[in-house]
Amino acid sequence: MAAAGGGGGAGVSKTYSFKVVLLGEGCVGKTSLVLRYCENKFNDKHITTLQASFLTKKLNIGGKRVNLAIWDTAGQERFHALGPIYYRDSNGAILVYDITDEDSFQKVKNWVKELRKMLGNEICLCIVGNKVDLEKERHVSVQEAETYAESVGAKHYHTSAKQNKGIEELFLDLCKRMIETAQTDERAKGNGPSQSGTSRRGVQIVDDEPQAQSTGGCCSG
Amino acid sequence: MRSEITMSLAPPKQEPHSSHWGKSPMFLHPQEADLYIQGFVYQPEMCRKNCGYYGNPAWHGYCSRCWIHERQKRQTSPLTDGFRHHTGTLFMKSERENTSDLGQNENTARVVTINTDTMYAQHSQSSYRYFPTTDVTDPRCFIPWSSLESMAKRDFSDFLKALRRPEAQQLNAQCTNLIQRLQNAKNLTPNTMGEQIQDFYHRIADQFPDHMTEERGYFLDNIEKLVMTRLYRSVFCLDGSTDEQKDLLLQRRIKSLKWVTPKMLQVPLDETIVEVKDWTLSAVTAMLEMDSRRAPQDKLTCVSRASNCLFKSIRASKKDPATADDFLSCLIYITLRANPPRLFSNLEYLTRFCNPVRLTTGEWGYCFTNLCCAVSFIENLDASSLSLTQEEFDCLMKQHKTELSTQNSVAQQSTLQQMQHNKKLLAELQHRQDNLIQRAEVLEKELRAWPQLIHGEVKEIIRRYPLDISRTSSQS
Repeated sequence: MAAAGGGGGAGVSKTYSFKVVLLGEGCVGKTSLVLRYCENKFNDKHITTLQASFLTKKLNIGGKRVNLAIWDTAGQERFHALGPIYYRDSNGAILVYDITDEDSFQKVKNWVKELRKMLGNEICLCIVGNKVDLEKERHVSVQEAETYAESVGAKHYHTSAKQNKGIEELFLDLCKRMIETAQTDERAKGNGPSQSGTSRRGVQIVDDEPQAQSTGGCCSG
Repeated sequence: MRSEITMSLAPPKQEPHSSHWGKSPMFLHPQEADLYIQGFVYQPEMCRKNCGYYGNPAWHGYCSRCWIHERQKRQTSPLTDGFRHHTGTLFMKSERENTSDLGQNENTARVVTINTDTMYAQHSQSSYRYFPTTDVTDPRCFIPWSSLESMAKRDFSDFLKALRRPEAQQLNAQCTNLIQRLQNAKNLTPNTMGEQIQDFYHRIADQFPDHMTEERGYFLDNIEKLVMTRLYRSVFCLDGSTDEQKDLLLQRRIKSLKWVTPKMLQVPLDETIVEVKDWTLSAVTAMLEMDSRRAPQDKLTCVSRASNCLFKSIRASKKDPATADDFLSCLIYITLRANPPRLFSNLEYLTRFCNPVRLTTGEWGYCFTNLCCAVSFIENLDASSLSLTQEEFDCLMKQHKTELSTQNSVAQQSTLQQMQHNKKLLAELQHRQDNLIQRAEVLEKELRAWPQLIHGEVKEIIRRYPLDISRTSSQS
């Protein structure tokens, strides 16, 4: 049993690989959000990346190395049915809506329903109200959005890609929650099988215990 | 001594076991393996160095002191350190649940160890080539770390070189075994084969500790390429399989959608720009090339090359980084344009036989996922997905058939014109050649006449000026 200590040792050297999908309607600013995060640029002529649909970022959170792969998904209505192909095996999902657009918030609700149906509780959800620089034109009330997020076990954030507000926090927070979930999972499974899980897919999160969510809440609170 | 222990633990099973191992070292039946788990986990053993203390399997059978000593000698402490951790958890696992996959694997290898001394002599005559390795006492590590490390590089030819080394022979044999077994298996469905291959990858992956994800990836890539290149013909789109029929369906479907314009798909490409057109064509070429590749990773490379061409193409058209919507619509567009041969089979093949890590993570994973999306979109394409009304859609579908025939006649006409043009050119060429030959003949005649002419002239001169030098000299 002493060998279980090896699990702690693994925490030091292990690199977590997380897949995060970015969901949201066409013009809510998904691309700007992720470009701001990875390139720290907004509507800039000097953006060097060829594309903003698949970006990776390496992080070090409290000594834990994290490889974050951010997958943008096609958000137009005609591609709606393809969602499940995109978000299978994801560790986290960022659902973006535009605070000036009530419809985009409804879309987020649909996504959440679908994600929970397909992936259950094994995925960390973030609901993000983007474009807070347009506060005056707000159509989705803060109260409504936050209550909804809480009711579905997601965390709510406000961001502005234009003013670079709240984005760093969003991703950092999400990573912490995903690490938490992965660790809970490792502990629950006795570490052994999680290794084989790693070889099968990024990081396997099978949430046997519903406590995963409450721990996520603790971490951020 | 070790063999004695096992004999006493499970004597009745020993014989069938060893013969089973003789055929396929990696795959023991779970139930057979289970018997050994008990004996294996709970039986204390002496340290491999015979120092008098008990050894621990987690330390490769050494006692703690000898193991520390041994580890220092190996100099690759980070590797072995991780490995120790790995071993430890495996044991946890087998203690908890005997049905575990890892437990079986470990046990399989264990049986090998036990039999090495006593069984080798008996089985050396059997058909199976036995490869005793230096590190065979280690439960799972069937190749030494030094070798494993050099094989876990990106370069495939380096891997093949390393595979020829004596210490890698066991691995080599296991790969060959697997290949032969699957090639000879008549009744296996592709899906079952896929599962077996995945199982094999899994076992190999288990040899790497957790923090060596990258090395594990490269090593698996190499194994995958080795195995799948050789197995390709036996598993890819077999004659009469359902895959083949689905390929044909998809191909026909794409053909029937030839009328779909970039505008309908909201493709952000401006093909009047030469650069955009070039990149789009390169993407189409890369998509077509996928079918000609054998190893799953090479197919994936084609997909990601096509994707990168598209990214460049999009960038050149709209001066902005491509979004997922842009990318997917472009990918659908070039898939329709390319109509890649055996597309369905290729996707199925990748899903079955590729290392799943590559399919779900990284750039390859992203491109593959998008290709799956594109195919799914094409299969389910209807009026609403092109923002058309149902009537328009039906109309276009019908029109397409008639268009096809008119297009055909147009194509024929242009071909005819081209042929006539070519004929004219040929006639002209013939004419010029005739001319040339005539003039050559004239020249030849002249050349032949020339010596005679000279001869005549010389004669004439001789006649006119006869040689009477002797006379004049005598006169003088």
